[in-house]
Amino acid sequence: MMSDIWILATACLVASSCALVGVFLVLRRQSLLGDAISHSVLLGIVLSYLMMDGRSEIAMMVGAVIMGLLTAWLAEWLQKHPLLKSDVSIGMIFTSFFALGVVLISVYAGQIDLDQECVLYGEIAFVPFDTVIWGGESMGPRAFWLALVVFLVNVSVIAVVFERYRLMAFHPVLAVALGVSVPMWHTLLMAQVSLTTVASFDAVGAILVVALLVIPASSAYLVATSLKTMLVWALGYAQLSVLLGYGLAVWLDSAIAASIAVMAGVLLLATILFQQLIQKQSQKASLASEAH
Amino acid sequence: MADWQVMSADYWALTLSFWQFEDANALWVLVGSVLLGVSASVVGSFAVLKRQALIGDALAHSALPGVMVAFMLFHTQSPIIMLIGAMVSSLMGFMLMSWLPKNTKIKPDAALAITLSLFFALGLMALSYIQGLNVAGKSGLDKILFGQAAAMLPEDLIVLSSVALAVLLVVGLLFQKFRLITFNENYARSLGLSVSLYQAVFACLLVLVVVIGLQIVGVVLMAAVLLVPVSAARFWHPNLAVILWVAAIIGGLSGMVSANISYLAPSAPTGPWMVLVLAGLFLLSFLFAPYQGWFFNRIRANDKDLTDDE
Repeated sequence: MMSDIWILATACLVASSCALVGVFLVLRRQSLLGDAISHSVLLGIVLSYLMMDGRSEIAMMVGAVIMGLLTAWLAEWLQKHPLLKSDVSIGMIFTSFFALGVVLISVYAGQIDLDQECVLYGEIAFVPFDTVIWGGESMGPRAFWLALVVFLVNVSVIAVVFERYRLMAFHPVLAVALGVSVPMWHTLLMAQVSLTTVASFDAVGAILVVALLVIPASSAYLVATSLKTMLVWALGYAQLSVLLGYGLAVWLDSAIAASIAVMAGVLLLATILFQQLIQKQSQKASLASEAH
Repeated sequence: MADWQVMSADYWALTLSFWQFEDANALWVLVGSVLLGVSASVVGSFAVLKRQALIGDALAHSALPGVMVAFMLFHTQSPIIMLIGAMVSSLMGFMLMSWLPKNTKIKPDAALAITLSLFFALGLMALSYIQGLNVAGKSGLDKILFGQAAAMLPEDLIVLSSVALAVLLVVGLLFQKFRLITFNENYARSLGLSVSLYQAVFACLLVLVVVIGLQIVGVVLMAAVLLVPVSAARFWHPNLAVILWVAAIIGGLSGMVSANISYLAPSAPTGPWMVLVLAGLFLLSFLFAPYQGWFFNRIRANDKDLTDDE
């Protein structure tokens, strides 16, 4: 029972972080960059394992942020070449980094406590067993604290630079004209994406993070009327996905992270269906009133 | 690293026996990988030039649930059934990806990421569900995530190779039409070409290539085999036909090397190795290709400076 609560709490925090950061990715039309970073972060994690000869949270974070920023920067640099378009350069970089990560895992299988399974699914079911022990007492799962720290970092960064991010998302040209350093805030956002991905890695693996980044934020994009409400909606969709997804996983005995991602998608499709129905209704109503 | 040095002699012996075609199964793996590399790079070339580079990524991820559902329904891993399942769900992914931006506020890039991650999650969920079931023949299903060429049977490889050949044949026959539509869609339309028909044919070819690549390259990294060869080839020559040939050679080479690697280390995932080979070939082209490579561009720029000074 206690372990269920830890799993749910970790998943909720991870999903919330992803949703908040995802809102800005979706608004800035950089969902694919988010996809790319979440793949590249794997290489950062693997390298940090190899360099530190084992698991170290700080090294993982540093490695992940470096690889994430490197991905964003290389993608931008390559796409300046006249023969390469933006999605080509993104696609090339993240597949190469991810491939290198997977190959390193398979070559150094004995030395890295990671396998292809956890890259894909995450290991949220095992989260409760890896606990932090402080002063002789168990303080709860390590992944939970990591997710909590990253969530708090994300919330405070967004709160502090809210206006800058808003300007960058809605009026990038105006932002430049006003003297806002767009590259700097862009880098900050990419660092947030990398941090969020690495905190989510234990829980949901490298690939399903994309679902949590993009899907709740897109659902929120459909219903929200302002940036603030979009953030709130995204958080709401994320929490609902976690709760329903966990129920689905228990019911079908399927992977928890995958089920959460599936429920996020189901909620998005339900939102679209609902909106389409309302649209049809109002069209009918207006046709009827014209006929009278 | 020590293991590698000790075993390197064995690796040489194995490589030698691989290239003397002593192992019939390995020969089929080689044929399959090369044909896959060639057909994926040729089809991928058109996708990249049409600015649809990452569509293959989404299609490959979308194939996963189809394969899993096909297994749940028929309890077999026969290649034909898996191909059909993968095709159906890839096409569904393709439809969702094109429907979303047209009918909702969602932008194309988000639509791609949504489709990719949603279908992939569905596939993983189905896979974990199957692994909890008590059915025979479920082992090896997870190999389509990262590909494992060495685990494939000659029968599967014969099916895959014939599909790859058929795809190449269709591209060869329709090359002129595809070129016209890729570079000048409106002109093609004004000539009375049925652009939407050819686009549908092309979408099917793309799905086919992705689907036959699943077991060799895997779902996760299929995109690289589609888009890296052509991106590298563009540094060699400006002409489309030449680009396609160069891309095909690069794709074939990467297939060859990865078949060799999967012979040496049968349990290693093939896809990531193939992508690393491709990345190396891209880097080589980016730096040293004669047409637009960095090195020759640099030399030409220097020559130009010198003549300007005179």
